[in-house]
Order: sequence, then structure tokens, then C-alpha cells
Amino acid sequence: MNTNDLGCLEFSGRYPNNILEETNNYSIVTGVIARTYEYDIIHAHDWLTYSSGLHAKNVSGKPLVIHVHATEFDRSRGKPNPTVYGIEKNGMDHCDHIICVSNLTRKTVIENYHQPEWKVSTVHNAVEPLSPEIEAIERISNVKEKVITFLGRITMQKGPEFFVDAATQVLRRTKHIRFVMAGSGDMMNQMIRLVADRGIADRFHFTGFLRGEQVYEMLKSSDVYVMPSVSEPFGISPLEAMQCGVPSIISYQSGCAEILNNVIKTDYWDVDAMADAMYSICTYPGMAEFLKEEGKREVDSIVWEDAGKKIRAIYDSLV
Amino acid sequence: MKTICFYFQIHQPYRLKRYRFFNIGRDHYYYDDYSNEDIMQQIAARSFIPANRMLLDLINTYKGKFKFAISVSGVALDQMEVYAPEVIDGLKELSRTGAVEFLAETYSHSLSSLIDPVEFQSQVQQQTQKIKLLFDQKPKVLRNTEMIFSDDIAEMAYNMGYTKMVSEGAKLILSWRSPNYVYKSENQPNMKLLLRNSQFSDDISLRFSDYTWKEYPLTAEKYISWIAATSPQEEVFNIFMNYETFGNLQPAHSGIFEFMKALPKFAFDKGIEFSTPSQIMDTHKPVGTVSVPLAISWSDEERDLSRWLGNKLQKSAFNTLYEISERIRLANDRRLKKDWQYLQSSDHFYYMSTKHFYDGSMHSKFSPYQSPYDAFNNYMNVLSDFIDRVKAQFPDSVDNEELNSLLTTIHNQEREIKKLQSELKKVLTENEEKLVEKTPVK
Repeated sequence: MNTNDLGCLEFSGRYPNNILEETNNYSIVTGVIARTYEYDIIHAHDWLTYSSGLHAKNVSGKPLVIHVHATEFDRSRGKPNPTVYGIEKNGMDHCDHIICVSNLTRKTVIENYHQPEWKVSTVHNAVEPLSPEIEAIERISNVKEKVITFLGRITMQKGPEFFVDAATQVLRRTKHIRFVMAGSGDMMNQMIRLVADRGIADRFHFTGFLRGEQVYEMLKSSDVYVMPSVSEPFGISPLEAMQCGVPSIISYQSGCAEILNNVIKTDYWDVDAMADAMYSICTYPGMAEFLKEEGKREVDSIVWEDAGKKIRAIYDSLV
Repeated sequence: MKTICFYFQIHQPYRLKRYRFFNIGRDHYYYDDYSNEDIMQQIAARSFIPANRMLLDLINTYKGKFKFAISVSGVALDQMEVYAPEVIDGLKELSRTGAVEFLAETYSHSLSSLIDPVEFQSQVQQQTQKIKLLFDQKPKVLRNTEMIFSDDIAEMAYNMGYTKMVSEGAKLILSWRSPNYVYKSENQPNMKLLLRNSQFSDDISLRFSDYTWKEYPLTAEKYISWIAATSPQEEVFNIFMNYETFGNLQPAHSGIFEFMKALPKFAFDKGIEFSTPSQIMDTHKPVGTVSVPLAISWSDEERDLSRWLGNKLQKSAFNTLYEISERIRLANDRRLKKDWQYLQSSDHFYYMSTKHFYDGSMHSKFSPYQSPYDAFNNYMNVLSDFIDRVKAQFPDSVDNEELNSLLTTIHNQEREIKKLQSELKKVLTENEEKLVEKTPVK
């Protein structure tokens, strides 16, 4: 244990290289807190906190609920890091209940982590209603073309190369559409090279990382939002897009596809279908208007209260 | 004297193949031949062919006292000619018995009556011509697509020369009145109407094999006894249903064929007859009028148009389609005209319905598409290509009316030229000698 001169453990506040040591320190601190306070349930989110949760459970004997927002399988597209897998499995084996954010994740937990079905439940995420300031943001459009946006981390899990492929198909045959890839990530440079290779760089733009309100400005100025995720445990961003009144295209392989109806769904690898859907929303006003209105209506009914009720029911069953 | 009026409807659309936007401008063939052939042959084998045989047997057994009406859309006939000609042969035999009345409807099973009167008339004409050609009957009773009816439609039908129509006995238009009488349109008193008795009709077509229904199992005897038990003034029982009830909607193992075979005997025993729509409307007087300001149909609980035109997608596709109708009528290209017929089928709009999308119920059974957006997208891509082809023949820059008048002028001038040419020829032949140059005699 490395304490500083005051006898305290130091935390970096981000994800450092020695992350395993940090999580270990975190669980030590948790043990101290666990001995000090009274509580009924322990709720731990994702692998970084599982060891803390287990430690608290050992100390107090109270039930442990772990919340799986993502698994190592999703992040690594099938080739998990063994240490992280070990921590996740350990947490799942010794807890009292597992909550997943989608049926897709639940399936992964049951099949790849060998958990019994009765121990795993699905509680879908929801989205916060937009604050009035954000509602007030106006569309910024200096270009007369339609804008199709990909907004998220540019990494393997999000399927950015499929977005570029679909964009290529559309751009080769239309004149009235532009593409934007917003965000940054480890695959960003690779995507820039891919766009240049395909010869579509004059109508395909990168914005880099967007902060706070910039995200909503980007969404409001878009005509289509695309999320071609290869394996998305849930994906709140399409819901945010729908709140801004933007028709969305998502992949069947994302958790939110389980609860959304007023979006166009395609398989992430089906570039033709994606391109077709992009063209359709930009060309047929009936489609764009319908998805915009019905999408907003649908997303307004997806509230955190429903998720809260379900979790409360799970708590009640454990105590 | 009670009489049962059976009417069976036959229709299958030309389903579209997966048509992506990059096919626009390149691929001008829109139809999923494999799927259409497969479905038509299956339905023919399960339903149409055995039903044709059953009905023919019944007519022969009861020596023509068993009568009914049939209506087939032109689009279904086109498909049957290619994929299942035995069905047409069966229908021809039925027609030859003289006990089967064929009704008039729109060629494409289209919704043209709602938006384009000229197209509606043309569609009905095309269909009646085909019926005359194949079955040697000139239909006298009009049945609009999916029983869609309104005061305006009654007026249009009358102007086309029809005085008899069939439609749905919707509560909305009948209120407390029973559909078991002949009515006439309030708007157009010369138009007589037979209204479908939905309860008796659905008992057979929807509930027959539903074992949770309290009247299950339905026997011919029970059914006829219900009809016989109605008040003596109610004389007309309009049982209208989809022909696929026999064998497809109600599979053979449910006993539907046996039910139907037994029905006439029990009916005749109770003194109940069978008639065709024309016979009934010719011999009975209307007991009242119905007023239908907003269109009704035989579909869904609401009995309205919401299944085809209930959401923005459907409305936008429908309007886009009929915007081009004037122009396509000016065209002569046979391929274009055939495509125009096939693209008007109401089924394309049906697949775009979001009515039962959210509970994933019955809708998915009949749609070849995964979702209504898919249906809309595919249809609009096809429509875009079609519109481009029509415009290529008649460019946008020329206005419809201008175009029409130009074409008329060209046509008249053509006629004039022909006339003058033949006159010239006549003059030349008469005065040949005078015109031949006299060669100088040396």
C-alpha cells in the first residue's frame, strides 16, 4: 500500500496505466467506509467497482447488486482481456443479483460468463429530458445539403468503418448530402485515411471531440443520426438524437434497438441497407417528418422513473 | 323468403423486390417474381383450386339453385395467367354454369377512387374488359377495393353507369339498423346497396377455427339456424369474405370445406335460398337510405381508411403516386402502363401501416417487409425510378395541360395529313394521263 505523507491513499481521478492498483486501493477505502456506515444494499457499476462491492459485502454481509453497463466482450469485439474478464466473472459469481442494461447484454452475461438465468435481469436505460437551454438551441446550417452524422467514440465497438462505407455508397450517387463524423478515438486517424482513400473527403467532415452543448448543437444541425455499433450494450445517444428531433438509424446489435420502434434498424454489416436508409430519410420528406415526430413522442415516454421502479422491485426482493 | 348472398373476393398483389436507391435509374424491373410465384402457387393449391372444385360440385348437385358472386382483381388475374392458370380454368367453368356472378372492381385493387376519378373509371373499365374477355360476363355490380364506399364514390359509380354496389354494413352508417335489407344511397338515390353482415361473415372467415370462441365448433346446421331465427322481415343475408377463407385463412383441417358443402342442404331444408347480388337488388326494394360522408371500408374495428392512409408515410407515398397520373395517362408505353397498374395496389400502402406495429401482432404475418419504414423506403425508391421514366417521356418543363393540347394538335395534324394524302392520291390516279409528260416524238 502506497500512502502519502498524510497517510492517505492517492487517486489519480482518471484511468491511469496502473489501473488495477487503483481499483485495489479503491476497494480498500470501500472496506473502511463499509465498516463505518449502516445500509441495506450494495450496488456496484461495472468491473472497476466489482472488487469494492465484494469487499463491502464481505465486511457487512448485506446483499450485493452489480450493474453491468458493458462487458469486456463488447469492448473487445470477442477477444477479452483475461484479467478484466476474471474480475467481471468473480463479481458476477459472488453477488446476489445482476442487472443488465439490455437483453443483448443479459445474453452475453448468461452465455459467456455462465451465470444462471434467474440471477440476471434487464432494466433498460432511459434518457433525461432536455433542459430548456438545450431545447432552445437553434439549428446551425450554413450548407444547403442534408447532413448525416455519426457521433460517438471512434473505436472498433462503434463500427465507424461501416459508416464510411455506407457514406461512400451514398456520396457516389447523390449531390445533396454531406457526412460528419463527430468525436474522437483510437481509430480516428485510420478513418481519416479511409475517407481520403475513398475519395470522398470533400463531403465528409471530422469535428474532433465535442464538449457539452456542442454535442447538442451538432445533433440539432443534423438531418440523420447514425449509430452502426457492432455491439452496443445500450446506447443512449440515439435517444438524445431523437429528443433533438433527428431521425435515427441504429444497428440491430445495440441494446436500445430492443425498446425503440420509431428508428430505422439495420444490421451493422449491411452497408447497402444503411445507405438506402440514409438516402431515404434525406430524399423523402414523408419519412423524415414521420420519424422526427414519432421519434420525439416515443423518446419522451422513455423515462428513468420506469427503470427506477424496476430496480426498486429488485432491491425489495433481496432485502 | 330468406336468401343468402355469398360473395368471395380474390386478390394478390405484385410484390416488389428489394430495390435500393442505387438501382434507381438503372433497374426498371420492380417485382419479386420468386416470391409472387411461390405465394400464388401455394394459395392456389391450398385454397383457390379446392374451393373452385367444391363450389362447382355444389352448383351441379343443387342444379343451379346454389348461387354466389365472385370478384377478382385484374392484378390477380395477371398473376394467375402466368403462375396458376388452373385457377382461371376453374373460374371459367364456374362462370359457364350461369350460377356465378362476377362483380366489377378496380384492376389494381387500388385506392384511386379516393383521389382520381378519371383513373378510377379507367381502372374499372380495364377490369370489366378483362372479365368479359376471360369469363364472358359483363359485370353489373360494382365492388370498390376493400369495400371502400362514400357518397362521392356512389356518385362516381353512378356516372360510370352502375346502379348497384356492395359495401360494408358498418355501424357508423347503419347505427341501429340491420344490414339484412337492401338500401340505397342518400346522395345518389339511384344507387342500390347491399351491405355486408359482418357478424355472420366473420363467424366463418375469422372465428371458424377459434376454439376460444363460445360458439366453437360452428356447424352448418347451427349457422343456418341463426339465419332462420332472424325476424321474418329480414330477408337478405350478405356474407362477403376473402376467397382465401377456404383453405388458407381457415385451413382445410379446420373442416371449413365440409362446413361449406353441408350448408346448402340445411339452408334449403329451412326454405332459405341463395342468390346473386344482381338478383337481389333487382327484386327487392330498398327500405331506407344510407349517408356516408366519410369513406368506410371493411377493414379493422374502425371500418375506415386508417389501414392504408393512417400515417404520414402512407399519405405522402399515396400523394406522390397520384401526382403523376395525368402524365402517365398520356403515355403509350405498354411497360409503363403495366407498372402504373401494379404500383397502385392498395397492399403497398397496407405494408406501411404502423397501426399494429408496436405490439407486433397480425401485421407482420402478411407483410414481406421487416418494418413499415422498410416498406415505405422500398416503395418510394421504386416510385422514384418510375416517375423518372415517365418524365423522360414527357419532360417536366412542359406543363400537363400544355402537353395535352400539344399532343392533341399533333394528333389532329396527323389526321389532316393522312386525309390530304389520300385525296392527293385519288386526284393523281384519276388524272394520270394528263400529268404524264408528253415525250417529244422524234
